[in-house]
Amino acid sequence: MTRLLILFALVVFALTAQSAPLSDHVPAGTSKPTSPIAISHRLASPPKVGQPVEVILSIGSNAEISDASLSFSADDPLAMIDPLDSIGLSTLSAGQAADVAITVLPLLDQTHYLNVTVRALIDGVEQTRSIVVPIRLPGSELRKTAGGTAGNNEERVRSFQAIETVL
Amino acid sequence: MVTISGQATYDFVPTTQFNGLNYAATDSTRPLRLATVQFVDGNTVLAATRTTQTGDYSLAVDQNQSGFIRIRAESVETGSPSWSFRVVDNTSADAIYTLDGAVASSGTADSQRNLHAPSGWTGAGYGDPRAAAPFAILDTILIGGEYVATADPTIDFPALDIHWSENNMPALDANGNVDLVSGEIGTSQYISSEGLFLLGAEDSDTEEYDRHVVLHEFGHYLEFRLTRSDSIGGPHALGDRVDMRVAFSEGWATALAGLALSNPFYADTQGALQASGFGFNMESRGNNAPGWYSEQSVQEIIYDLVDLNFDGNDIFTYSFATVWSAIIGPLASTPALTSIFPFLNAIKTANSGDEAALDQLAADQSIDSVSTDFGGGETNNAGDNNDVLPIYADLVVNNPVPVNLCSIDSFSSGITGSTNKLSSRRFVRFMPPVAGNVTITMTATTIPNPEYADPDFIIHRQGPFAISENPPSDACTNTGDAGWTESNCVESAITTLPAQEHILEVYEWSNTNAADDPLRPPIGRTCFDVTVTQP
Repeated sequence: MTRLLILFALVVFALTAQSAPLSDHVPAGTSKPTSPIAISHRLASPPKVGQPVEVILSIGSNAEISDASLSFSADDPLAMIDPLDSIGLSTLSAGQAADVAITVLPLLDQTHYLNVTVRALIDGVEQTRSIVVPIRLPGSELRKTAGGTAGNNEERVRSFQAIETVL
Repeated sequence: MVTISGQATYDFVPTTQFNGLNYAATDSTRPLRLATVQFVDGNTVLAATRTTQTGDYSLAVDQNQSGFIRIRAESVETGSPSWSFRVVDNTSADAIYTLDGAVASSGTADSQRNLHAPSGWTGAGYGDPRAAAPFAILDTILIGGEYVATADPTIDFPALDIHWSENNMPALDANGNVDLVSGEIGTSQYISSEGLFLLGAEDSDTEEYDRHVVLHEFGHYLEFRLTRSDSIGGPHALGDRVDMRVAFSEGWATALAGLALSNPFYADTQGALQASGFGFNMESRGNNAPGWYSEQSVQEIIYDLVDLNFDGNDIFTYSFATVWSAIIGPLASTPALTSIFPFLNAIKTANSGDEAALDQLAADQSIDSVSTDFGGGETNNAGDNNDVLPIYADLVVNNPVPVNLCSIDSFSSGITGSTNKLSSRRFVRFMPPVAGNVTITMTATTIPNPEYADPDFIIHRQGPFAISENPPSDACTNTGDAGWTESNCVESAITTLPAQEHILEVYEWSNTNAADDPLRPPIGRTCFDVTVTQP
């Protein structure tokens, strides 16, 4: 009987439900084509100031990749420990993933950004994929922006200085 | 009064096909064309004009007036065609970029002030401000706008903001979402309510000189603002088998970039020192997964229709107006979803006599002869005999025999995930015999053990307009209960519809999530009975 009551309630709910305007439904952005190299990442442990942390990268592709290399760079408050800037990867067959651990040292209690780039031959052509790995420490703040200056009736402007030639 | 005149230029750094930006070939003479120029004293604009196609300008100002020349990263055309394009910094409250000269007196005689925007490249990095970047982007957008205007000289482009910042990086926020304020934008993309967002992170991914990338996103702006796109967006890569709406949207955008630039080599520079990149040739014919679900197939077809190079079964040299007419007309009004089918059907209809050759061009991409907007008769099933065809199932309102369809995640990609792949969403055509209330019901019939289903649907009538995405009931989710059956998982809604053709987009909700979704990753093949009834 309980089951019947639940089913009855379900039917009543279903028949009274209304479809919602699609304005509530936000589609994903339409983005540029993605490079044929996959890079995913995770941290081995929560990052702390002054303590090395491992970033585990997983590299792969839907196609065979060869002559692959992985390179890194980071903003100053994030020190590269091992490897210092790059590492070679063996050939990976289609669908195979390789995990690479790199160690970095956060020096300030903020969000650090680690640039990761993989270059590899795919179908005889060198292709590249770059991502940025955020390393967020407990006291992270979003990076400070250059800031716009108010001008022209409060419109915000971001000015660059021209190289000017006066004749 | 005295006249202050001059020329505005910017550094343009060309791309190579696979080896990034070629700083050694920087062109420092590119005119900063059709941009707003002002003579400014403090915060007061005393005179304004616009640069010419050669970057020249001329302003009349009072004698001995102190002020500076400001070039705004903005182009406004009020004639026919008309447009308003701006480049702004999303990480700085959408401040518009400007290029400013030094404060000086206008003097008592005519004078000349030439302004140049440097790239900021100092040999081993961007050691100086990247002043040329927003103006290079604006120039590329103008190339796209001018190209479209060749097909429609009276076009009125809706206002467009292009967001670029050195802080825009290929990373997401702590919750895996785009953060437009911090610059963690994930990737370059068009967001309907906001405009274009372009990466600018040095040593990772910068777009200011990647003209194909900029115009690809401009192509999305065109389809969403000037015609119609039903694309659900999301990540995509060549070789993916994606939802046909995504395939058409992405293929169109890339083809537009190639055509506007007269260059089939798409280049997206990336990496340390911007010295490497990702790229492909739209003319390469190297498609491992051709079909109506392939963005690569779509881009090659559209590019081949217009380009002057005959290759394979490409014997076409249509004007871009031929393509634009199909995009702006039949594609916008079709009762079908936007895909390669209504596009090719429109091209064939407008070019009678070329049908056989157009069929051959489609056949090169493993697309059967197109004779309707709905792809009826298509036989390319992407290797799946069960859950790809027909592209649209026909449903008769009040028919007691339901339509049974399955939502799958078989085409998930290791690179771009599962959110927008082929057959995670299935399509049903129906037409209410009379205007009035209809009840739409999806009832699960097959669910992977031990999962429960979350059936959902979207109603389309020349575009999506209503969604029914209720959470599953307890009776559905409590799979361990005695007597539990798949039919406990139901989505149903009542809505009022006119007696017109409608498309129902039906899906298992989890199959539209990312493969690594922490809460509800795709559960796989899930089937439903679909009915539509009227009193």
